[in-house]
Amino acid sequence: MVFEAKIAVRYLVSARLQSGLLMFGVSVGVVVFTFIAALMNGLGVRLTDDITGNVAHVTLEPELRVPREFMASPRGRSLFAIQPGHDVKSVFRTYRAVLDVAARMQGVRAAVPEVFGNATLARGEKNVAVGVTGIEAKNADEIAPLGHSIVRGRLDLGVGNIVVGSRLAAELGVDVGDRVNLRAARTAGSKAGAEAAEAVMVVRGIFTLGIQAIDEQAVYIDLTSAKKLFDVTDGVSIIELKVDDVWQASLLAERLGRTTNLKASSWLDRNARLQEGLRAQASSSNMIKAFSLLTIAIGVASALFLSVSRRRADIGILRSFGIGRGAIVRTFVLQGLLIGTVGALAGVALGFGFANVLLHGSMKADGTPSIPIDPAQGEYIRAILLAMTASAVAAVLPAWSASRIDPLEAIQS
Amino acid sequence: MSKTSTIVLEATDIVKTFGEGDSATQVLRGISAQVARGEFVALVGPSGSGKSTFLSIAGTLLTPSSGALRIVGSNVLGLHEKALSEVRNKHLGFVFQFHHLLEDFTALENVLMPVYGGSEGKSSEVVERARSLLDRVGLAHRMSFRTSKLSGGQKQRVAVARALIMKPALVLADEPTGNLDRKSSDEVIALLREFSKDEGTAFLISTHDESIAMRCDRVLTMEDGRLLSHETRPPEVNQPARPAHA
Repeated sequence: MVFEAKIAVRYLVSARLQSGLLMFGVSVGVVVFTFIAALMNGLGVRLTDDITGNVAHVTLEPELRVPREFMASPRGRSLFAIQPGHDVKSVFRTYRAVLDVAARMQGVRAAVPEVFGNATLARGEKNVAVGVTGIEAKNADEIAPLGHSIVRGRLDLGVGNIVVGSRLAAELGVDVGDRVNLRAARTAGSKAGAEAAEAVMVVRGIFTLGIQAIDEQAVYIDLTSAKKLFDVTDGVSIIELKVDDVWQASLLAERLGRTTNLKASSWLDRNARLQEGLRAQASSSNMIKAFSLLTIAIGVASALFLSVSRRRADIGILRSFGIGRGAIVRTFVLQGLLIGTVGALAGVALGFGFANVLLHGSMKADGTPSIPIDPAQGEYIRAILLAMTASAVAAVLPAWSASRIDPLEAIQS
Repeated sequence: MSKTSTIVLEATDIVKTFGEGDSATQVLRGISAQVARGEFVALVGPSGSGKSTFLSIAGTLLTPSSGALRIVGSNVLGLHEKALSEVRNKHLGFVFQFHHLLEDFTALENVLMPVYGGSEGKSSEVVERARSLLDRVGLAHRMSFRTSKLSGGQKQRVAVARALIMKPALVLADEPTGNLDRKSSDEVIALLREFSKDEGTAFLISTHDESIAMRCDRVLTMEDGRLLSHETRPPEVNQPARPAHA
């Protein structure tokens, strides 16, 4: 192999310009590969983070129980309709045991009990329907990064305090320190004629999570106030979980559902379109990467075919004094491998630099990049290995053709 | 040592036909010849008489249409490519009209090229032999020069050293001086003759040059694909064929 390597290196060095251009071509292909990987992976992570960062990865709640029909008509026709209650979720009272099981499960980062219900938030004459989340102050930041999203005031979920979305605040015309009236919606189980619970709250913080539906409709209060508001003093409506690996959320949900006999769903169940989008994005990214590798392979193969043609007499003379066909094949495959290796190493260096230049060049005033590129996710090792493999494989055909050269014909020509 | 063991090339009734059917051309029409170890044999004849074709067959670079060929006592016809490569590497050396050196390599590297085709690989002894051969052909001071920097005569002397590096039993030289001036030509033939004497290597040299033929032990004359005569030089000019190393 030393002999073949020596000849391969010498041939590459003696045709410096051609070899240099070829290696540059390989490195450009690798730059495309790593750039696409860094961009698409960065975009995927940003999209996923944007979604999974603000919502629970897994939710546990009681199954919705629809009352059984017991007034069947003699002719088999119902004379009434059953409308499940929707203003307050079902309550489960054994939540502490479930919370304990969930918190101890491997891969679960946080388990937060919440009371969730619908209400009307009023300020003066203005009323807006809102979704109320009652949460313990210590857990306020676990599911959605409320603390980081506060744009005015602070995340203070003491008794009597409320934190509202920025769009909601704008619609109601409220600011930090203002008093608002929070009135629970009537539940399916509310007694006819009974007054809905109501509380006066002080706006302590206004947040912007960047998700329109949340910023327009969500309010947060402390868990105790929520229990009182929705009359669920001895239970919670939902347990929300954050997990370490968001892509394992469905698996964890399935396990938790089996263990607790509760309805467990993952963020992936609620974002099927995102999954489809990410899959489509990965497919197009892979296609571009495959084309860049194909370009590398075609470049290497065509250059080596030219080299074989140029070295025809050399090959003939080597064959005449007993250098075997295998050695000729190895010589040219090694050339391909060397071209691929040097080109790939240069390519990943250029690609990493290029991704960093783009990242830093697109920084906005708030320190976030406008281009969602992540230089750390350029798949550099994979790019090197694939470019080397593509180059070596591309060299096989020219190498094989070199080994088939008739030594006598080559010498005589 | 028996007579058969001193025969390094034994060609029997070699026929070579190119093409098929109406376009078939018979280039060799039953050549039979032997070359003994240490012999210095000229192969002469007009252009197109079949000299190069016969040398190519003798060098196992071309397969005859019929006949038998033995190199150092072994039948080589029908051997597969790998075995033929081994025969060429171990027993044969080649010197061509055009030196056919690898121009990206130094003189020393060119001389060592055949070593890599062998099973024993490069050893310090082989490198020493390569240096010694280059010294003997007068190129000790050019060993590390790329061959593209050498003159035509120097290149041909490197080619001679390369042909001899594996200590072959037979060197096949096809018009080795055809591209050289008289002085260089004489120097190269003198070198070949010297190696033939010193190392017992047999040489079969195809040439148009009568003065070269006159300096050989024996002259084989070809015409129209046939061997006309086995002419032995007069004793006073003839150099005795050297048997194998005693």
